[in-house]
Amino acid sequence: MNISHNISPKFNTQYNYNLDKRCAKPQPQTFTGMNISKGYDKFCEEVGKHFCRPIFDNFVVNKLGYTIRNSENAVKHFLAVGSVITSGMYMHQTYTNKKMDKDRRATLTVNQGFTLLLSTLGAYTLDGSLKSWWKKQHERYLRLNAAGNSAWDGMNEMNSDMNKQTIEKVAKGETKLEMTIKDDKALNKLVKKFIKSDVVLDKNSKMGIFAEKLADAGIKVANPEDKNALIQKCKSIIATGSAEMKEKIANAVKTENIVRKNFIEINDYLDKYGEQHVVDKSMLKRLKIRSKGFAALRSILVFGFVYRFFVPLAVVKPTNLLCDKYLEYKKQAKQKNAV
Amino acid sequence: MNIKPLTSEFTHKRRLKSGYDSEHPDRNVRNYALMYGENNTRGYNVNFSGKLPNESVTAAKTLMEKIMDSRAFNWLTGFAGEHNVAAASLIALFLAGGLRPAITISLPGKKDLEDKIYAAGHSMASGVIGFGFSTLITTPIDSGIKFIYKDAKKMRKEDYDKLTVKELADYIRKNNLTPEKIADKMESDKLSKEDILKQLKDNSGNPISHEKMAQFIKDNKGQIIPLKKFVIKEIKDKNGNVIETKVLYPGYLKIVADKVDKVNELKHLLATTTDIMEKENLMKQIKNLENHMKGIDTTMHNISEWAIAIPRAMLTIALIPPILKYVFHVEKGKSANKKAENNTTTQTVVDANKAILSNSMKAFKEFTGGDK
Repeated sequence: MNISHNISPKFNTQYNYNLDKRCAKPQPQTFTGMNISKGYDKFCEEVGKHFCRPIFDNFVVNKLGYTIRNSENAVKHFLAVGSVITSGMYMHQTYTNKKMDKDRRATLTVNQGFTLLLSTLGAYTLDGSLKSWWKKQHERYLRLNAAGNSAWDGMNEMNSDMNKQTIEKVAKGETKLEMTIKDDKALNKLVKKFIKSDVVLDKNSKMGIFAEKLADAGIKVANPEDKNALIQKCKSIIATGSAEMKEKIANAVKTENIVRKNFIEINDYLDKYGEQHVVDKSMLKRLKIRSKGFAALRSILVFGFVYRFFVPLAVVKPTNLLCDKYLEYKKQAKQKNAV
Repeated sequence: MNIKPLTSEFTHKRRLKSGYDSEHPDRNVRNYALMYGENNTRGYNVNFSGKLPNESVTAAKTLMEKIMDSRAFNWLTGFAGEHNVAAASLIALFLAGGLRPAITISLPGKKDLEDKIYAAGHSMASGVIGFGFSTLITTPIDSGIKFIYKDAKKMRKEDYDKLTVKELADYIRKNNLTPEKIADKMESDKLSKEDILKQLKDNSGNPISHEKMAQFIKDNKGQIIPLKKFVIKEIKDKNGNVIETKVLYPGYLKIVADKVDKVNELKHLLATTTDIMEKENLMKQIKNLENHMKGIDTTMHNISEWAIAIPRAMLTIALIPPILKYVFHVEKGKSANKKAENNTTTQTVVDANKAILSNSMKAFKEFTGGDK
């Protein structure tokens, strides 16, 4: 016989504990914490009023904003220039350091400059090569969230509508294809670029929008996901095909160029149409900031990794060795001259 | 007869173990609610994980998605979205302040230990100073910029209420607003567009005077959309004559305000034109202006990186000696002598220990490694 089984759930401690918790009055917030955050807000307000507004309201910021207006991720340029300034300062200090002897100073300065150049180039190339992969991760990240998921679908829908409209307009002759392609080499390059970064807007079709345009022109491969085969096929057509086919490819490239230019990115989409997908304002705000942060994080991670971790570890030793060897060589040359 | 103590049954774990739930499903609060159609968020609810319910999508997650869904990663993306420069320095703190010194010192090669320690100290100093300095300076600036935008929105309504009828009439005159345009722009809960049009025209169909229009708008608390964003200021000469009326944007920066105005103007044009080529042209212009504003925003958030670069570097150089002293216990210049002393003392101690071991405890001799 189990006596305990006859007890009603009303006497369940867990249940009653939760009931009590719900009945309890909420405790007032701690005094000091509120004061500090309030004070900080006030401080930020003052900073905004008396510092940000006069400082940023000038033609330099205006012009810089104009120069980076079409940049897909402008944060990296600022990071790069910031590093150039910092390294330039270090270089200057090395060069004017009187404790070192003159030769070593010069070589060290050149060494630092060379490292800076190398790491900047490396950071930009790594950042560029990660672009399409990161975009896939961005989609994955937003799709984890119900609101982000529907926003991404909405963006895709809008872009696919724009794609269809552009194709129609081009067919009707309403939109002119202004782009000029110099020769076959340039055409090949553009085809490769568009196929590699092709975008799939429709969930059901595995084909990207550029591949669809090529398929309409009669260029297809057996496996729609095999991008290299498609590139090779286009290459062979451009090299040995008829003039008609070539023009079809060129037209597809030109149309795609217009479409890519008019693509709406997810952050812009959230800014403009986010309210359609998220009713709660604070949640929309959070989603916007996180999405923006995820896009910026690519460059931040890559530039941080290259400038502050990889290059200092990998390059310092070889360059030091080279520097020493150069100094030795110079010493020998001096001795020879003396003899 | 098996009598169980009462209390042991009513902890969560024991209830599951004892099979109480499966035997009496209706006695469990949650199951009861599910079975009889009550709201299942009542009381204790396993499904509610503390997040907002429509924020998480349940599906089989890969490792990558688990990382992305974690609280820490979400915090990181939020931080990076709000404070670009501070986020970059946070990553630098992790890489240059922690990982790089550890790897530098653990790399093989005993000859240049001093150099390695110096390099590690430098990277640590740059990481710590970079993070501290950047965060301290750029975070309030970022929040300040946020405040500017907030302020611009907040001041619109107030300034609208402050506008006199005369100023409003001036605006209508200056922008050649016809009754149709005002009816388009006016946001009113009570009146429909046709009503507004009727009121703004006299019996013969001509538009009423600007002052009367302004009075009507003011009376009905209607707001003409772009009017939300500025106040009109009259610039007078010495005699008190008005030279020109100027539109001032109290909230926005001046470089942003004229773009906001222009975008509004172009949007209005876009709604009225029917020519396709013209429309495309207008859309291009609007996109350009919006991108320009976005660029200004990014610039404002990131330009502080350049301003603090040089003082940060100087501070880093200044901080290397103390870090070397207190973290690695090395002082530049003295280190060579100290190292030699340390080596001799430790060597003697080790020798003495070995002597004791070999003499007294022979069994331990087999366990001393690295002696061969």
